[in-house]
Amino acid sequence: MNHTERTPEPRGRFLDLGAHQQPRRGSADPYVARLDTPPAGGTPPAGGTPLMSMRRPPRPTTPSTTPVSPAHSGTPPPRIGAIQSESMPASRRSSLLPPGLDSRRSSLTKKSLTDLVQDARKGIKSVTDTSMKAGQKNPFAYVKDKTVSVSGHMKDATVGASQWVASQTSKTAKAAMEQAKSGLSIGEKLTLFTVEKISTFSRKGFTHVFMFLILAGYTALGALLFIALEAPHENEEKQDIEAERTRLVEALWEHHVQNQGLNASRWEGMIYGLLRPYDEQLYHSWSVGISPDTEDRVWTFWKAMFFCSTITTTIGYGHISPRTNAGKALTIVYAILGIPIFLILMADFGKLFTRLLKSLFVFVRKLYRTATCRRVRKTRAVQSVKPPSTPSPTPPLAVPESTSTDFEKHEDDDQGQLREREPFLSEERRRNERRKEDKGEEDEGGDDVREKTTGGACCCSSWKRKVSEWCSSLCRRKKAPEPPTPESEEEEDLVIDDNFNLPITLALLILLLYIMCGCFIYTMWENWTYFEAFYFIFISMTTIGFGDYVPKHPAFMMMTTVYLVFGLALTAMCINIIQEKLTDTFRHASVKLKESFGYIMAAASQGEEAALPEGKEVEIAEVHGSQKAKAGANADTVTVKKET
Amino acid sequence: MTLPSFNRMVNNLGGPVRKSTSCCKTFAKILLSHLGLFILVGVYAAVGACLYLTLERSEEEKRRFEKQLISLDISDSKKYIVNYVWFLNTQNLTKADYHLQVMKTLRIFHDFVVKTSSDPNINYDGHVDSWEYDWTFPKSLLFTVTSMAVIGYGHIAPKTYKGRIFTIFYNVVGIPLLLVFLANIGDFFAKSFKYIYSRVCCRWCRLRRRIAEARKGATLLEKRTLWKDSVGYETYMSTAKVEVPIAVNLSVISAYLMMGGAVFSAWEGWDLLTAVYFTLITLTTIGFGDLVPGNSFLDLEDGFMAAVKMAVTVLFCLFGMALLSMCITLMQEQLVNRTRWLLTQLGILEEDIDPMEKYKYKKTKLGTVMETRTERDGNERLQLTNVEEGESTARRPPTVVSISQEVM
Repeated sequence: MNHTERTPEPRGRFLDLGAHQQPRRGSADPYVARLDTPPAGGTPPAGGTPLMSMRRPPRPTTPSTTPVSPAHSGTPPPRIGAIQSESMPASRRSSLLPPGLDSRRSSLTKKSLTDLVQDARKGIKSVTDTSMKAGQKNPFAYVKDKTVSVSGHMKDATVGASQWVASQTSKTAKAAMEQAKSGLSIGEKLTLFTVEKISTFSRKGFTHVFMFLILAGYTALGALLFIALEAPHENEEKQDIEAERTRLVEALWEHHVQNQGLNASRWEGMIYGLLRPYDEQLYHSWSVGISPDTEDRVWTFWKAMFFCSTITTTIGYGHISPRTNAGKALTIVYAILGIPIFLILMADFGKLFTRLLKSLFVFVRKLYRTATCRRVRKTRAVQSVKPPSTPSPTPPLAVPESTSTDFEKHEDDDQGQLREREPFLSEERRRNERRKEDKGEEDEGGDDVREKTTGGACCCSSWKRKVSEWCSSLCRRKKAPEPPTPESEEEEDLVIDDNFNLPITLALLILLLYIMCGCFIYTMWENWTYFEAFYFIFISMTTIGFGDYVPKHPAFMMMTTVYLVFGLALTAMCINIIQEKLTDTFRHASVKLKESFGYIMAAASQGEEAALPEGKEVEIAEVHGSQKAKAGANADTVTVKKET
Repeated sequence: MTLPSFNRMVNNLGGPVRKSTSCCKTFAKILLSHLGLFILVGVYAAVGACLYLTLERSEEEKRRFEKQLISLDISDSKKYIVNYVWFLNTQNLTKADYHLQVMKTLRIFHDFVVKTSSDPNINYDGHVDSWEYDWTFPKSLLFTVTSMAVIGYGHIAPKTYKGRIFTIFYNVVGIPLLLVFLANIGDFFAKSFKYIYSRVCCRWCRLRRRIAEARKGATLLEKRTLWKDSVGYETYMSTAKVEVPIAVNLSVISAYLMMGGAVFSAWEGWDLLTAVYFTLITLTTIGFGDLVPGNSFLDLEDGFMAAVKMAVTVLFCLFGMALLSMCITLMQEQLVNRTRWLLTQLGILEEDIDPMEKYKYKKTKLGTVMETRTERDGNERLQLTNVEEGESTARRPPTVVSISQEVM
């Protein structure tokens, strides 16, 4: 509709653009694709087609004009476009055109570029569609992912946008390659498919899985090295004891043979003298941690693994430690390399767990609102529910932001899982943007819960209701719910946005639960009481690691390692969540502080004698509070920064 | 005091309320300042040490008694062996038999010693009466500080339930407190270190560039004014943006380690490698506890020097950790960037960099174009020196030529 209004005009411009501009590499030029994408109906424009097809290198499978697929023609047209075409004066409309040499006189605005990018996107989408039709399973997931990240920066990235367009062009070329592959045999397709799957998996799970493997490999390597360095020393020590013992016996025999007729007391003194070195040797080996008689050795593989993990986690129980100088030097190097690896892994796992917990939390909430496990569309359809007053007065200069939201909207329909991933990668800016909407949504959600519970919907059993109450209390909705907005019965309008702060209590509860589970397990494994197990876990999780309690069995040692790695990751998750929360409170506090300061300053300027004492006092008290809050938040954020 | 009377007082005095706010503010400021935090940590550690003493000392007396019993047992068994050998002497045995018998008893003796002395609660050392007290004040102080710093040597650990419960609560508070302190100090260090680095090292580069850029007819006076650049507002390699190289950071850390090694090898009688090993194990908070400082301040009766040594040891650990956190702060971004670069080069990580971050732009006569490497950091004079590095050029509308150039 808006396109129909716009497209006829640029024809001429494109013609002379074609004259000046060399054809870019890759068949599907976004600009051209934009031209090709016809108005909603899908009818190609009457004029200009021959010239376009002449400029374009021939495509193997698709027709020369790629029509917008029915699915996409069904999607609502971009809002900005509509606004622009309606509200823009005709003189400015020329700036909406793709760049030509002659458009230099009317300077290219940001808006026109973003518009351009948008159109380019449409072109890519059409290509994607055709390739999907050709049997590919959406090869462009990552392209879209990237698009969102770019769109966030659209505000100041005029040049970046053009850069982006260039990169997209090459992407589109790749798409053409994909299409060319569509004529392959089934086996080849299958291998291609698997290769693609593996590569995407490795891209997604690289940090999580491979980092863990790297750490495990590093630990195993360290264990082998330490065994190589320390085991000979241990053997030597054992042999020393054995030698000392035989020496003692020999000496005793000598005495026995030589001095038969000695009196008992003198003999005793001599024996004591002989026993002393043996005793000392025993004491020494014991202090080194070697028990010579029993067969269990200190530097077996599993124990060495445990030792290495105590280095990297910086727990350092100290029940095993290197004795040789080489071992000590190796420990230094090993710690310097290993600790950063472990820290990175922890940060990564912390984020992963936060993400998992969030999705779980969302799922549970969803379960209560809808009482079903069906997927709920994760769009921001609130805008459609809300009165349409918001979009219309958008001034033309504020377009770029809304453009980014439009991009998201496009993706929501077919990129469910990507969207699910996306919010956690999103920047602070977007979170800020959304906060207001979040509140609104949560209120609506609350209404929904209420409706369900009061209505006594058949699916909801009582325990579910209880937990839902708990959930909603966790959400801490402060505001009383507004009068319910007219909602349609369809589930599609139930909106769940997972871009929110998890309640700290939930995270701490999970951590506590984890520790309690650990306590239970350790009381079974070792001869510890429940409290001793808790003490052990606390000392380990804080990485203090006194080493007065250490699991004895090597298998349990390894299990302890795994348990602690995940425990530390959970701790990192908690810290993550608390950090987010604190950053929030800090921001609020600073805003509040600013407001109250402003008030005070105003009061001061009005004149102190005129100001009301009562109001003044209240204001000052508030300043105190916020000051303290600020200080506290500040300190804590510092802490968290260090910890993470 | 009731509220109205307070109000009246406020009315009468007018001023004091504001004064009290400033008091509160200054108090908070002092508390959060470096010195205030330091004093807070010190007081917390000292109070904790005293409490541990009261909690654990009685238990330790018990353990001392136990240890005496065990030592007596062991010496008894030693006597038994002597008597046994005497008994064997009276028997007429061949050498092989004699060996066998003695070996058997010795093994039994050995097992007995290992079993009884392996109880960690009693520090068996082969003597009956000697007992090294775990919970003297200096040791207890070292314990509180090391447990707050999550080093946890473990050569001393609470043995009673009360002590353990107290440990949990004490550390729940203490660990964040010390972390705040370390982060605070580390931040301060980082700032001052950066400042010093910028003033000392980058100043020279800056000056060279300025002189190179100066007009040929510049007077000596004009050249001399180049020295007076205000901190943080330098156009080239400004203090706010300068990055301390990784190599410098690493050398600072290793210098500190070596210093620790020298100090501890002198005081504790370790060899240099062991002392360096100890320093690293301490500063990374691994804390095996196989080596523990304390020979130099076992008992405070030694006098003033022992106390000084203890204080220096504790402070050395704390400041070392702060220094480590500083260096990590300074290196973090560079390390992340390098790792990403490496991963990209290896093809593991897909290049996912925002174009604006990747390229810097500069303006030429034709329009905005990408900056080349030499232009970005070389000494070549820029066309547009008044554009700050990293400043967005978006507000200047680029011409079409530049775009088509970039697309090419």
